[in-house]
Amino acid sequence: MKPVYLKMQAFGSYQQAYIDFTQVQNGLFLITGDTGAGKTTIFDAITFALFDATSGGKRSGEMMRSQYARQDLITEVEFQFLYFDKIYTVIRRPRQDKYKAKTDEAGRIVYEKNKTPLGPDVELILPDGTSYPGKKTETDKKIREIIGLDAAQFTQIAMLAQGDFMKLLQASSKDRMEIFAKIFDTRIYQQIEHELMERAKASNAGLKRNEEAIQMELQRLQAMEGSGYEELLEENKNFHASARAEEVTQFIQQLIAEAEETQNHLTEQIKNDEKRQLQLIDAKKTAEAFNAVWEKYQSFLKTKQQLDDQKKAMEELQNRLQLAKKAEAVHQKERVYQERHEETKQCRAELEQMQTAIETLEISRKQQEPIASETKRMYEQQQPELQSSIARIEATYLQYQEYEEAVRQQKETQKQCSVLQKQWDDAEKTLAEKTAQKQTLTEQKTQLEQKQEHVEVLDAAIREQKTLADELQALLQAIEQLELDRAEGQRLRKLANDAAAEERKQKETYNQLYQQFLDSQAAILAQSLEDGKPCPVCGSVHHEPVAHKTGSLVESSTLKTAKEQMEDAAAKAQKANEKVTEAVSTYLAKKADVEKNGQKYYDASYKLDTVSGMDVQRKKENAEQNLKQLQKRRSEALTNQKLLQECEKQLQELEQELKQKTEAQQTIEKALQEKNLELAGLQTTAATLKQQLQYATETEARQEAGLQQRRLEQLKSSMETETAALQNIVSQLQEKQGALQTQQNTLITLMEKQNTAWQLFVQTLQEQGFVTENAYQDAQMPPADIEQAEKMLQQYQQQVRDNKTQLETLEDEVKGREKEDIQQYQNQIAEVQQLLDDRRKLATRLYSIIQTDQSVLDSVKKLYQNRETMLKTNSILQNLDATANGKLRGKHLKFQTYIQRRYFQQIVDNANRRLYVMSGNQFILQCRDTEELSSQGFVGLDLDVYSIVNDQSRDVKTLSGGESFMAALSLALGMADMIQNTASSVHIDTMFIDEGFGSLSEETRNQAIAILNELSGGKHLVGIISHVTELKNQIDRKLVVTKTEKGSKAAWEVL
Amino acid sequence: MKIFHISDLHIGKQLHYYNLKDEQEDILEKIIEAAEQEQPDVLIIAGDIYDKSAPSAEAYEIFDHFLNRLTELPKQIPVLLIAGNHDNASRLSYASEFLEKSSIYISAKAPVQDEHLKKLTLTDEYGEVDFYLLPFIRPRDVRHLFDEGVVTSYDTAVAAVLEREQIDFSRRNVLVAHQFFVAGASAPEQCDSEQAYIAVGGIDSVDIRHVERFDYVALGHIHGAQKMGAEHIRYSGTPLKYSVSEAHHKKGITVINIQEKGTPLQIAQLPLEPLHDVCRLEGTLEELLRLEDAPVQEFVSITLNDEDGLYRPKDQLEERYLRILEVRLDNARVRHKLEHTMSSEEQLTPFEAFQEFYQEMNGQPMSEEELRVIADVIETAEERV
Repeated sequence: MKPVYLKMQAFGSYQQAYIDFTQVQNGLFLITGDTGAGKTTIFDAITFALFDATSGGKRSGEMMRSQYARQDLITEVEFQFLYFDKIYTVIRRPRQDKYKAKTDEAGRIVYEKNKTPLGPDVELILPDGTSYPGKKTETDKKIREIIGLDAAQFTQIAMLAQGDFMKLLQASSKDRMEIFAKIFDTRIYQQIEHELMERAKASNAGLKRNEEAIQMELQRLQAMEGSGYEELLEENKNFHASARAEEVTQFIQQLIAEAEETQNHLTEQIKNDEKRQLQLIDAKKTAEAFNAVWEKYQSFLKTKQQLDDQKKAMEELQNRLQLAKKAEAVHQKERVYQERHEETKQCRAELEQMQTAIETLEISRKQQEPIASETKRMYEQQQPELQSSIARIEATYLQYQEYEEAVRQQKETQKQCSVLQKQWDDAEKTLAEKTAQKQTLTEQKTQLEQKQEHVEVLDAAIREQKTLADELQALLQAIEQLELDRAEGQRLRKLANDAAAEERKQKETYNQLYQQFLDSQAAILAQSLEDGKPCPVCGSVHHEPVAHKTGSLVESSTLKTAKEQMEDAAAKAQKANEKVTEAVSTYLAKKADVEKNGQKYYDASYKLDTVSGMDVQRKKENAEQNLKQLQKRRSEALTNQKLLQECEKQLQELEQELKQKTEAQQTIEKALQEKNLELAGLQTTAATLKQQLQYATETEARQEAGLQQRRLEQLKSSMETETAALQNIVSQLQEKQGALQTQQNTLITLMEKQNTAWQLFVQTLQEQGFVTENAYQDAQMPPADIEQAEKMLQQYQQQVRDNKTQLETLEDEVKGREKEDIQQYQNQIAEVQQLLDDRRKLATRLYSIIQTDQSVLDSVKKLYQNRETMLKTNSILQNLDATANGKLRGKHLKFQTYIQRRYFQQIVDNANRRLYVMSGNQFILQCRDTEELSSQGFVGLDLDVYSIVNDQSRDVKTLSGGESFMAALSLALGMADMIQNTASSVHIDTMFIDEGFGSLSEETRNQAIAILNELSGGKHLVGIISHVTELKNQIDRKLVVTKTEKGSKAAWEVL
Repeated sequence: MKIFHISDLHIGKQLHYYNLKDEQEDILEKIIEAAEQEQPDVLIIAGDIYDKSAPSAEAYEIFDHFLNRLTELPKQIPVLLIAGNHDNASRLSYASEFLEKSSIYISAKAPVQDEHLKKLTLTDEYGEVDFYLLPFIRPRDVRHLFDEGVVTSYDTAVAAVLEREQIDFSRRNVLVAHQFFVAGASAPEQCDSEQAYIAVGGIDSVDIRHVERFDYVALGHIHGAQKMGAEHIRYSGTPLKYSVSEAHHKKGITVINIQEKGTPLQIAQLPLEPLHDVCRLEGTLEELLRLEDAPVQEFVSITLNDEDGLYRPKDQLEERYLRILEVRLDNARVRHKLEHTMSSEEQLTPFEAFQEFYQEMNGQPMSEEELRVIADVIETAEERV
């Protein structure tokens, strides 16, 4: 990252500053200036622009608002830099209040604060010129992405702030790890650590699950009752991982063997028992069979006894049966007689019914006759009257319609009348308005006419005034010019005087020199005088006193120069005088001219001196004012004229309108009158018609007619109904009487038949041998009973025969034997059964134990196999995990840290190359050995100082101030080297160092500068802030920062 | 004409924190004695009189005493002084006009406007010799004297200034200057006590061809006495050894004898013995403690060779040697430490890196099984990243 330019506005102590870095793209440069001039602010500005922080982290962006700037200037930093040969620009503003410049009543500028402060804002312009779209947070992130570092890291590597350079030196391992992770991208290693840890964990979990599975299986193990292994079983159920597979499997197999043995034994026993049981069952069956036979014989015997008891009863029954059969024959005849009797009775009843019905009908007829005749009479009476009334009403229908029409017309005409009336009223109103308007306008016109002036007259006056003003102006100018000329003349006079003075001086000088010349000539001459020889001047031979050289010798050349000068001066004086004379004459001529002109406006006594320019001025102004007034009047007159014309036109229009409106109104009035007449006529017609009508409306009349018609019809219908009813009754009567006759005939026939039947019955009775009717009644038996009795007799006889046969059969078998005891057999069988049951249960149980144990054995075997493999893998993973994650005993170094240590080592090596020299071969930096790493917290990147001569390591914090600076500088340089070499995404080839050099001794400082110079000899740029005077002499490129009341200024010192 | 040429007195300089007041006073006194004895016609001090631009009072006193002693000599010897890059021009030119009355000519500032370089003309049996004093200048000091574009570097600045003097090279001319003169591609031999001067592009050098025509060029700025590209162009070097790297230098006064124009110069060096010499010692602690005729009074830079650990060697040495500048240790271990595994420069793949890491942590290489597992783990991890 190389800076291109930095612009600061209202930032820190800078009101406006522009620093161009294009001339210092590599090499060393110095920023120098007094304390508080604003040197660190430049670094702050760069850090602020990039990261919204300041180099020391102590000032915030908001604090950077300048106190020197005008309040309405916004605090802003613009920083353009080169990164990987691409140009980026960042413009950033901190949160600040916004002010607006306003002028108050007194005319001063005040600054009014806006209610809402300006929020912090940043803009990033990308190499292609576009602005990065995104809000502040996103843009900040993008900038960090581009640079590859954040503020904290930047200030540890590239910007060593005042008093803070030891950050990287004294940083904790953790902080260093973060920086390195950023710069050297060691994520993959961290991922490997993580992956191993996960896998080890998973492996452990797998093992545990395996254990649990085995445990679960073992829980299922069963031993039979009375097993010799019960204790061991309990033990084994609590499975320990340490239990070896063979022991466990062996044990299970033992269990199984035991159970199987017992099972076999049991099977034998069961077989025996089953055999025995079968035998018993057979015996029992035989006994039971005999017992059954014996029982049967006993029961036969019992039956015989019963039959014997029943014999007598059966005989009786036989007798009765015979009697009943006889009675049956009689019964038949009795039945016939009864039927006949019944028929007769019925006929008689019917006859009576008929007679009753006829009587009823007769009564009805008697009632109905009068009613029918009455209705007939009424109808015949009213019919003719009603008919004629109806006809009358119908005739009037037409008249009703006419009347209604008349009423409708009347209403319409009324409506039309009112419309016309309204129109007339409106017209009246409009007329009134227009008349009023006309009045107003007429008045206006009169007024205007009065005011009118003539335009032409005014024009003439104007021209006159203008001429006057112009002439006065000319005069005034001439007067002013005269003044100037006078002054000029005076100046020239002065010059002439000066020239004269100069001339006098030169003359004097020349005279002096001449005298001296003469004197010296004399002296020279005097020197060559010899006593006795005559003097070439005066001829005397004694030469006392001799002229002496006084003062310095004057050369003839000098004299000549003086003479020339004098003549020069004289000429100059002459010229000056001439100029003066000329000026004076010109002036006088002009003056005469002016006075002549002046006389025009004043009187003949006009003299420049008497009448001042002020007066002329005043006169001119007067003329001008008059002019103005006249012009105003003229324009007014024009306006007036126009208005007047307008007015007249309007008046004419109004007249026209009024005439029209009045005509219209009259037309309306005529129409209205006509309509009213019409209305009256219609009203009369309507009234006449109404009188003639009986009813109010046609509808009413129709209604009346209808009513009457209905009444007529009603009468007719009732008459017809009653007559019909009468007829009905009469016909019914006739019918009934015919039926009666028939019935009587039937009755006679039936009585004859009844007698015949009775005679037959008596006959039969005697034939069958019954003396009385009662005896016959007694002997009767229903046929069902008869049947039953016969069947019973038959049955009894059969039974007797059967029983006999049965007894004969079984007699032999049963002879002399007793019943057998079944119960004994039963008991024995039950006993055996019980035994069998128990044994079978046991067998089942054993079977299940064996099955279970076998399955357990199988699974356990498999599980143990798995376990083998898992243990192997697990141990590998555990080891790898412990190694990678620093969990080995005594070695708390993680893999990522190890890698970082390598980088770190390289950095330290690079640093040491310089530190060794700077410290005068006294000490170098050293990475803390892995053995000495503390077991707590994160370690691995700790730094020590190794003293070469004493062969001792000590903590970096034991370094003195100057030594710390050396070490910190070396470390930063070492870091810069590394970053450069490992083609990392971070490209820092600029370094800023703020103070620190003052703490170094002279020699060390020289070495440090030499080292920095060597570094920057490549592509690096190093900027130093220092107040050390020697550095100012030593470093040629300087950015000088000065502070004035108007704020700071920064400028490159020109070479 | 016999010329004493010295330079770079650096009065007030410290040597590894030691105050050199006594040594400097002593050497200046020795110079006076030499002058008294040799009776030169002129003494040239070619710059860097003081060590700092704001010298201490003590430094002023030392130099003051020196000048006084010079003026007290029976035969008055004119002294020609110029300011070097360490001197502050304004300070140095204090009372310069006044001092001229005692034949001490100081030129500290570059000429401005109509001024020219300070020039002194002395006469010997062969005639006149012009001495031109050119103080240390930077391009910006003289840029205004010329048109734009003439002065763009130190080289062009010096060339232009000399050109402007319009020196008559038919006379005998001596130039006193204090710049970084080089002869084409070869530069003077430098030592540690010279301050690295950071100029733009590092080019503060001036080529000698601009001054070759002078009969003698008395230079300052470089601390080791040497000629620069030609016999008559010389750096006189410092009178004292100011760093350990000068331990082998021979310090002294450069004595030049100019005779008729065209004849070669006679060049000699008058050695100066310091009060305390600067030398190097090397050996084991034992050896050095028991050394006979050891330079116990001198300034020594001691390099110990012991392989074993030493217990507070500096303390032990200080008991014997009074003026130790530094104690260094140079043995196999140190050398090894300094040459530290640069092999760690190679970039390792994660797989290789882990193997190394494992080896270091567990003290043994990884087994086949383990290698397989790790390879798989690394593959998974790479997918996730």
